[in-house]
Amino acid sequence: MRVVETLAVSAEVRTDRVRAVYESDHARLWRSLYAFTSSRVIADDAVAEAFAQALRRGEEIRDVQAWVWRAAYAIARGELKRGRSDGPLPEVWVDDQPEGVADVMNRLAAMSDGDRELLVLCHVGGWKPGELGRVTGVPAGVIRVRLHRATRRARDLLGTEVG
Amino acid sequence: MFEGFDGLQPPDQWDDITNRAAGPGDPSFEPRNGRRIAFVAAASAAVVGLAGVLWLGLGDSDDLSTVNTPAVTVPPSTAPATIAPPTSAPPTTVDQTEPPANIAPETAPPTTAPVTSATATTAPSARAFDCQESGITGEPDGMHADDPRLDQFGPLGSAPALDIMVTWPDLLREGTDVVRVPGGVAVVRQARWPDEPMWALTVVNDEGTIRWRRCSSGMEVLGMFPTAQFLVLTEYDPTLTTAGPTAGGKMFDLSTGADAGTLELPTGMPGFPPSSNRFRLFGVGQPHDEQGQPQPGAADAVLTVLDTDTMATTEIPYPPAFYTGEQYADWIQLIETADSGGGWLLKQYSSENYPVVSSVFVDGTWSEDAAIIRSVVPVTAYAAYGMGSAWNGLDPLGAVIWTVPDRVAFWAEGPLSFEDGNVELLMVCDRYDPTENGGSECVSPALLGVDRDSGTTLWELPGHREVAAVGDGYALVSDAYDPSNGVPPTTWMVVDTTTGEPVDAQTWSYATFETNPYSMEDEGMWIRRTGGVVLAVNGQHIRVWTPASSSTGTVNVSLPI
Repeated sequence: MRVVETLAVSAEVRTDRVRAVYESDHARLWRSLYAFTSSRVIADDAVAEAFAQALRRGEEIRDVQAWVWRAAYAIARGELKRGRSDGPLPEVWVDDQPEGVADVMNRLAAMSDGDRELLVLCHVGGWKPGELGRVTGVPAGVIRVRLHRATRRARDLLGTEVG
Repeated sequence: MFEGFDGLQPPDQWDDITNRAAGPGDPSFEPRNGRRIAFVAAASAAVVGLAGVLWLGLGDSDDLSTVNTPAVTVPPSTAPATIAPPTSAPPTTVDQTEPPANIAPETAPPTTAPVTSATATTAPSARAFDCQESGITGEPDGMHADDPRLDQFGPLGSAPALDIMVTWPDLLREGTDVVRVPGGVAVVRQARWPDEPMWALTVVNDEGTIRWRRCSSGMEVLGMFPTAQFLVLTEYDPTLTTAGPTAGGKMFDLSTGADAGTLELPTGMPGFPPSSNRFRLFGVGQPHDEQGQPQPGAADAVLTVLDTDTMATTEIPYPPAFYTGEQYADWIQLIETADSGGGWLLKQYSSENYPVVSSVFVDGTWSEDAAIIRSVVPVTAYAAYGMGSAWNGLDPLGAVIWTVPDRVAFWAEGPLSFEDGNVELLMVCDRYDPTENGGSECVSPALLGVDRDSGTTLWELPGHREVAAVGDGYALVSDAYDPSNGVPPTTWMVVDTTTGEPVDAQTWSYATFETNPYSMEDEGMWIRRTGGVVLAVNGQHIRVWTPASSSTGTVNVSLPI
């Protein structure tokens, strides 16, 4: 596959590259991570650390958007593992959420991390299935297979149509 | 049911981000609570997953710069190993009496490249790091070389020649790279800042013995590339405030692992992935002003081509626009070719109109002459951004030479195509249809083999396909699968890229090259071809496939720390 590179430029312009992704992606990245982890603390830290790493690595990163998403999710996955040792996600309280969010998150928490991750990447993060390969590093065909399965399981678990 | 998430208000985190990015080396850095350590360790795992992006550029011009002194670099020892030797790995040495033909240190002295003298330091690691540099199961055994049969990609052995399972602690599971070196593979594993950056670099011989290991802490590895005699490792100091690589090429003797100095070549030029295993291009980027406009480059700045076979370097000027600042003049790619005297040429892409070629450096000079450009740069397949675009064959000046009729480019992360000499492998659809959920569906996907010069479709493999390695007349391709029904591919096969026909006895289960179809919770999983050798990496599991003509069975190695 051919890869078209991004021009290498100064630290200021590198910051601009990251800032541009921050402006365009921060909100949906944070929301999707919150949906994935049920934790504002983890979402805050994963997002901030991923963007910080992107700033630090500068030209080393050629696709800032994809890198930040992947790094943020890797951070969040690691923290989830450390925090609960495969136990359940913390229950989300209804009173600090927009209507319906807490219920959805509590139901999502019953799913596997892999299924939940794909679902929130698509339905909260706004990524199309065909785009997820860029974010996850997994071949697009494999993503579609996994998403298809996750959606089927979510339908059973959530008792509603997903996607 | 997910609409409610749009009502969530994320915090403004930019100040926190810039503070974290400053790092502890910056006076403005404000330490955070202890959680961060764990987070960043996990972030490093993400970097592993990005290996395909970050480390495909190993040896790219933007990866090399001046090296910083690592905290720990202990020369390898032949003292008795303190760890268990690899299983089923018979001690062996390579005949040293007849240096292989493709290694010629006497005729190609390394001093032709700007190399500083080697220095070994023994500063203690800040944290216990049980990397055993003395754990060498074989004696340093001089020259290693690859059988010439390993140079050409084609039918593979029925099983991997080397099957390496890394059994290192979690600490070092955060970054992996593997490269082919003469006679074996080099494996680097590392932890990253601020979780005590450290790395272990091991060269495993094709026979399964460990040739040598080096360990270090305090620095991160950006990448590595082999030369005939050395392994060049790019490091950087993660505590420095400057973003991006700041270290250069630290050289190790490939035979012994001994320090061999530093390869000091300019860095900073945006590079394309290396198109040559032998020649590598180094340079600096076009200067620019605060508005991002190109500025004149230094009058004495030059590009440098390193011949990794001989360590000879060739300095050449940038395109004239680099020195005048009229335009960006650093989208430059080195192409290995027998059509040019030195065995390579450079092409400068238009920064505004990829893949149009602005000029070429051939036979000692830059030229913008259309006839010369066309004479050395072939037609290339290109699809414009966005679903529904057609595959066109463009000449280097952008003229459309052919168009694949009645098909559109299959669009995944981008249009999927692969080159193999005069054949372009193109993923196509009949069309894209909208789906009920607002998406798009590729109708009748297929992989085409298209003649590069005429655009003639040579063959067609229907269905969604994955393509893992292409070159020298062959491609490793999956069988067709339908992602919408939840069934992944079942097999990999080697096909002849001139006919699309499968090669006899060249099929494997899908799991052979993709043992874990879903790696989002694990480390990187990727396949890389170097000549006729295919590296299949799946987290801790590294397999080295060699051509069938040289295959003699599998050597299993459990790589200890």
